[in-house]
Amino acid sequence: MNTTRPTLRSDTFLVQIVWLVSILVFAFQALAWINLLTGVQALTPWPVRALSVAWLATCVIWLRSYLRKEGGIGGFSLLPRSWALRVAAATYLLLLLNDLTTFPSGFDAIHYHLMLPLEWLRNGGIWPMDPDPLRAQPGNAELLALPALSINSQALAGLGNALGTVVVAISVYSIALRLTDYLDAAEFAVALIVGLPIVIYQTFSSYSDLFGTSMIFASAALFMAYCSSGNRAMCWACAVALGLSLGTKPCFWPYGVLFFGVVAFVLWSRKAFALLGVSTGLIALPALLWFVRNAMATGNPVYPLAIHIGPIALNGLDRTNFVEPHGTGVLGPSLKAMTYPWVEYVWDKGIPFDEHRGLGPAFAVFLVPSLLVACISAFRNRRVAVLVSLFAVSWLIWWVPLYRVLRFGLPVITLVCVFGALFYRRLSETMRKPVGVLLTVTTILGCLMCLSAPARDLAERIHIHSWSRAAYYGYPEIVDQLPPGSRILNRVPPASNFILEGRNLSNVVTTLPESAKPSALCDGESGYAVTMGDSAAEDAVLQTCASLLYVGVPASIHPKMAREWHVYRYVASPQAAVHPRF
Amino acid sequence: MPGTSAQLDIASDVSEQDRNRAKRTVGPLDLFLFVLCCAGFLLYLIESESVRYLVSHLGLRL
Repeated sequence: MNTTRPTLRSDTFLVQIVWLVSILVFAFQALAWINLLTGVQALTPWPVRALSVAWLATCVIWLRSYLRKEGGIGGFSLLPRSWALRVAAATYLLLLLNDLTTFPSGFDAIHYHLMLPLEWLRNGGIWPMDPDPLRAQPGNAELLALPALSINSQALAGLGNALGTVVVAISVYSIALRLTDYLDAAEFAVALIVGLPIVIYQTFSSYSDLFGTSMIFASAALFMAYCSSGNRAMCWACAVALGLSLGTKPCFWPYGVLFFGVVAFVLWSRKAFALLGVSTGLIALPALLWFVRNAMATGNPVYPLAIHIGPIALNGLDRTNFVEPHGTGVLGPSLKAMTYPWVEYVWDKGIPFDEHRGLGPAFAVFLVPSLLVACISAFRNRRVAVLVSLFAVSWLIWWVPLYRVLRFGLPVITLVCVFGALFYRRLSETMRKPVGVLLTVTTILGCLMCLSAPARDLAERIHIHSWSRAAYYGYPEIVDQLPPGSRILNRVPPASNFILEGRNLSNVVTTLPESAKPSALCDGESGYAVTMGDSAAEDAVLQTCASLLYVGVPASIHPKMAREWHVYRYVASPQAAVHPRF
Repeated sequence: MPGTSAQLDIASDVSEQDRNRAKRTVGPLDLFLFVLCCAGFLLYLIESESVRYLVSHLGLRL
């Protein structure tokens, strides 16, 4: 075994963070396994709270022991050298404050990322396994929202993803440092990745792309550490991190398989067969739960992906059902996509960046030089050559089968940020100063862009003198006042399901299939129904079986998007009988 | 120690020699890379709708 260099301090830190995250995920997965195998409702709020407290205690004990080993907190300089990183850190702090005083945001987070763990807590297991491809995906990232949702803390629900940002930042730092041996270059790469608007937004939302990406890069950083030091614990942690990523979302399967190919090749060529076997098992472990559930529910472990290979035919859906070729955040036709990120155009709602999109000015400035230097370095450095090859294949994966959905390309984007370190390292010392200034200016610009929308929302909340959840989302306050356990038939867009759960997450929201006939509006067991906007046909049906509780345009921090809402109470519902009139 | 920062680094692992390997003279590739950076920034400022979005949110008019 070639032992060329001891383990980096950042690797030691990273490996422990990966173990801590995996302990939390495995703990909740254990509850889900109990439910899956025995039918006992184990994934309920109290066990989740107990495990969360135990995990927090483990974190505190670990942190104390880590700091003791490192000579106390005085041994750390918490202020980075890079001004761009300082600006980014300040932005993250402001957005953290915003997150703690507002409510979960992000279309997909509201649509299903938060609804899934909420329903799991109600059902005591990772059910229902809905045929809807969005709800049939692996859910390691969604498990991180369980602690917050188990105590009804909506402000904390999106913070599980912040772990992803910490992990991706340390991983990029570690890989960049290993490639360049230069701390300022490593900080340059970290500033690029944490300054991306899409990363900043996903940090405070319950999207799973950042978490999956962070685990792939943690895996890469730890594998590089293993290759340098020969420390097997690094390889085990690398395998678990890769498994966590594979158990996050189908879009990480091709990236994960690609990287596993590299790991397997290296271990095979080193004749580390036992380690390869153990690593393969450890990769499978964090993702197995979701494949078993899907196999039990549909007979296809990789549902929603249809498999037709020779005699093997597993039912599923065409990939257009779960990777929308024309959905939100998709870079347009090929030629237009080639101009991104320089021509960062606005999509629906007139916003150029959110959890789906936005690479910002710093990325636009350093993309080409970073790629150019990486390609030049690839001729002299084998590790860089491997990374450039991985970049090329990953880019093809993202461009063709993943339809250029920007957030599905986060691993490709992160790799460019790593190449940024090579670019910075390549510059002469004289040139580093103006480049550093350029990085700082573009990071400031990008951060201002990210702060503008929350600042506008804050100004609007002050303007309308309302800090309520109802005004934040723009729904009628009456929804928050329904008795706990009220069943609400949602006839506004399904993305509002989480919103209609109410301030205390105490309502139970139901929906109807798209194919349902209008008469089905009166057939359900719901106590209440809500409609919004142009809903005259549905209102006409509902008026035959329900009384109107509320009609009006609720206060909203987005007045231009406010619509007229109707809230109905079913006349024949047992819930209606015990509920007073408003 | 010059070049060291932070919290997670491995100051002792990175040799001073490596760190100071950077050239002090500006070569043609340096200039070319810097021009590429500036061109990218200019293109972004001129073409990106994000900049217009930010300017309008700051209450400014172009």
